[in-house]
Amino acid sequence: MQIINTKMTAKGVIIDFDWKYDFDVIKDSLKSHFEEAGSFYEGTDLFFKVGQNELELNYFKELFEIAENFLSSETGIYLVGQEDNKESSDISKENRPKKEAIIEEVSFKGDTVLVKGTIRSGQAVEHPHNLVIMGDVNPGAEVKAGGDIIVFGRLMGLVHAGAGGKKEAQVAALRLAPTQIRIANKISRPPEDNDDQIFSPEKAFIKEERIIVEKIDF
Amino acid sequence: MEGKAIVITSGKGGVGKTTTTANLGTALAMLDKKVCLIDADIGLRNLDVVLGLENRIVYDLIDVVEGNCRLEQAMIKDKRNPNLFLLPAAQTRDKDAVSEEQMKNLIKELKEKMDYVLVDSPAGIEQGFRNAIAGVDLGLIVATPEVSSVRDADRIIGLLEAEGLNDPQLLINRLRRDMVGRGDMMNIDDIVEILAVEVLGVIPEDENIVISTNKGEPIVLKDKTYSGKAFNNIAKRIEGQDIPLMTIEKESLFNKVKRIVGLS
Repeated sequence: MQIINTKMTAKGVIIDFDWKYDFDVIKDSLKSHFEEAGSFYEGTDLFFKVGQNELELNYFKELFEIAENFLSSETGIYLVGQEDNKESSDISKENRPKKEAIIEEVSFKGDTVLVKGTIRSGQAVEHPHNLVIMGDVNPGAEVKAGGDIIVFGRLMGLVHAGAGGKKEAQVAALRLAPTQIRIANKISRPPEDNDDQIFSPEKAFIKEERIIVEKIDF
Repeated sequence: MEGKAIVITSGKGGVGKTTTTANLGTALAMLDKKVCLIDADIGLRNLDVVLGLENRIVYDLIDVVEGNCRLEQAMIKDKRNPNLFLLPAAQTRDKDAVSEEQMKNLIKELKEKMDYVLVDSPAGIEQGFRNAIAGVDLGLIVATPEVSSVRDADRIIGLLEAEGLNDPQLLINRLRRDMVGRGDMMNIDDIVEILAVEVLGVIPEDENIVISTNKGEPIVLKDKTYSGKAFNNIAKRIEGQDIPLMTIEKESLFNKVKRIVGLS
């Protein structure tokens, strides 16, 4: 487990801390997480997870202050707990009741985020991990992710996967026709006279220090 | 010798500022001048598209003023002419991302390296316009022969003069000879009478412009087109070699208009 774990849910984002670490480490980690996320949490509610830990009130005050520095006042910050399972510790694993009965979890797995709708010129979508876009990315729009980017639609704008330097990152789209494509620190642009309108899914990745585009075979 | 900074502006939108900037820049570069075009329309950039350079943008004007990159890194060399450079606008930011002071410094720096710095102004008279005119030496106003456009041009001339940019020059765009002939469109004299500024050139309405803009290839590369020729002539006048020729050119163009109308 990392120092900080995030989980997307229908109501907002749960932030879980690994309290084994020193509090200063946790604070720094939260700070850098918000820095990376940019405006991603804007308008989303945040839930800080207490778990079963007994913690000083001051600790949470400090964490809230960090969050407030990065977020607008529209972002709600809440504390969430967890059912106390001390008594149930002797119940066998199979029969143990589900602990995290707080918020209904939707289809997000790990750190991948789903964005629905067309990303238009001048709009920018940014996320520290993987990104899935259900819609088109128009010319003049920017999509940036620390991990992979998948576009279920036409990708025509600027795309940057592995923005933090992750060379294994990939970009896939139903139609891959970006203005410019960047993976990690590599930049490439499609050939000038490429106006075939065929809808064939393609993916782009780094191979031998160059960005390669390949058809996706099913 | 220090270069000259010219702002291409209008107040009214859609009169051809960006097309003019792209074409005059290309035409001046073809005259072996070092030219840098600045897209000052932060948030609604177009100049890169008209020049066909959109896919080469890595850094933009905002990156330069914020110190994320050096000026040279953000300047995109034109794919056709090595004398021409573009400093693109940022698309995902807004007009307040840059200040007049920053623009002044930027233009000062560019003038040391270039013969000409052309600034493509956004429409309107707000902060974007103020940024675009900061630090320039000459105002070039684009107007179409319509009452609304001429009215806005007049307002802009007033604002430029208030900023100390005296003697702006006028570029009349999208003139339709046939309509002027029938008396359905304002002619050059009508416009000059209202604005009382020097006319640097007249560009006829030309459907080739639409084609060239969509292709990302400036029309001046096709000297055979009437509008391409008009832009090339204006570039030569900006070069200042022959100011008397300017009036001759203007008259001959006007006569040509008359002649064609007379024949039809």
